[in-house]
Amino acid sequence: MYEFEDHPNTHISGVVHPKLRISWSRRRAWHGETVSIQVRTELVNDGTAVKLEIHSDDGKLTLDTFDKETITGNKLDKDYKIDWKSKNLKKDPHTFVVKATIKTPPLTAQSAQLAIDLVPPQFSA
Amino acid sequence: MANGDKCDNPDIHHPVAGCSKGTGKLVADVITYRESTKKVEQGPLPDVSIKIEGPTNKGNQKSGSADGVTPVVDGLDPGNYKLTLEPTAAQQDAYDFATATTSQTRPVGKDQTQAYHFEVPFRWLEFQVFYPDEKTSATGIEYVVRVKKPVKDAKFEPYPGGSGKTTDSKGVLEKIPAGRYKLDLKLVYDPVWGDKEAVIGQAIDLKAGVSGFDSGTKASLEIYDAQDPSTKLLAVDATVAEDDKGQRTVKASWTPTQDSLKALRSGRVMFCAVVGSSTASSSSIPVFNKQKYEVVDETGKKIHASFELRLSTGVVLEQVAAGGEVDVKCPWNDPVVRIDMPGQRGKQITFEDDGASARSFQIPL
Repeated sequence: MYEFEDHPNTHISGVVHPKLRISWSRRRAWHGETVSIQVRTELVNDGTAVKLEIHSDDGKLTLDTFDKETITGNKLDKDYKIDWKSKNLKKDPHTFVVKATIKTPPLTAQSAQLAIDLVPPQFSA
Repeated sequence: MANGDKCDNPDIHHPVAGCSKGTGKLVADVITYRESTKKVEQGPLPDVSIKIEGPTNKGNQKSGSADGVTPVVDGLDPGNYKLTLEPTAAQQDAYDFATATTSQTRPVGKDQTQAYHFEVPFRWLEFQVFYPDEKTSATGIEYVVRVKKPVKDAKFEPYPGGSGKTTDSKGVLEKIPAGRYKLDLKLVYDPVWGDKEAVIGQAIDLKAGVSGFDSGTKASLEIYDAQDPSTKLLAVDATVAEDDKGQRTVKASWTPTQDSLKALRSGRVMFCAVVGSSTASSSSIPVFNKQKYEVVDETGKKIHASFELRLSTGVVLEQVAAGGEVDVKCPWNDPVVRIDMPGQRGKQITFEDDGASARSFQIPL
């Protein structure tokens, strides 16, 4: 409820609750494919900076960081190519999450997992 | 004055001055200030009619339009003079005459100038919108200030000039009428599903709270793939309405269909409530497709049977076809890849599916 009632000769201080959500456009992808990172906000102004960090599900390995992205119209869609050849990752399938951070207002959110197969499957003849 | 009378330059701040023979003078000023403050910020209250009653009738006066000071009234026979403020309706709306002293009786002496000083406060309202830290201003939010005047059956009505967008600095309204005030932020918030899951063919409610927007305002409830908020699947039109408790909401009923969700990939949907330029997103819920399974013998007679449906994601649904049939809720986009019928080993089984030819299998012993 965002209606604040009072009598005259007072200072009304209203408080609003902004929100932040982030998601991958897919649940599973192959290495080399491009996926979309989708950020959605509520009550966040245009031009607000949002930091994106892609890291392994356990948080031990950070793959990429973007700190020059901004919110426009309470959203940000960013295409991201999975190109981690230089990261020397193990060949097992991995799950990754992307975390969004906004300083003002202070908000953080983390996506669901994105499962990535780093090595193409091998089919028997 | 040519006769040397010192009353030709009366000063409200030095009211006692020489006057013409045998008569006195009076002068009044009306000032205003922020009610409930220490009167640090004062200013003139101009154009207030002042009724003057006393031994000599020289007519009424008005506070000066620039400084709130009346002209000097001279030639008054000595005696008590009563001055009463007679504000217009508009002035009474803007200033709190009810709590001010509006009538004063003072003696006007021979060869003296009597001063009357009136102070009438004005009502005010300040407002600002913050994020939860209560330090950072939340800017760019549309608002409307409403007032309910203290009269019977009054309702909150928009206050003229009381709308705009929030900024870094506080909003200020001064010289406002008596009553209750409401700062309404024009927002839609807390969108919720009426159930924890959506099922094809079954109606489900969508609802969100609304503030600031009037009843009858058009709204839209947009449904998205929860994992693809950039692609709208469909939109349901709705209207802001007020319930018995005065709470405004926007709500609609939606019946998902196979066709309307053919672009749904993830199996979960969310909705975005849109009213004016305000939007709010719901949590996501799973979508299920209800399918009827029938188990019949070779003569077509329905038989009681247990079976397991194994889905593409590894989910196993154990089912009992009591009386030979059962409705199964299968997650959207998670097809059945295997059916186990442990109690039917050694039998010939035929599967028939929508759009597929019948297939027969011999279940091994």
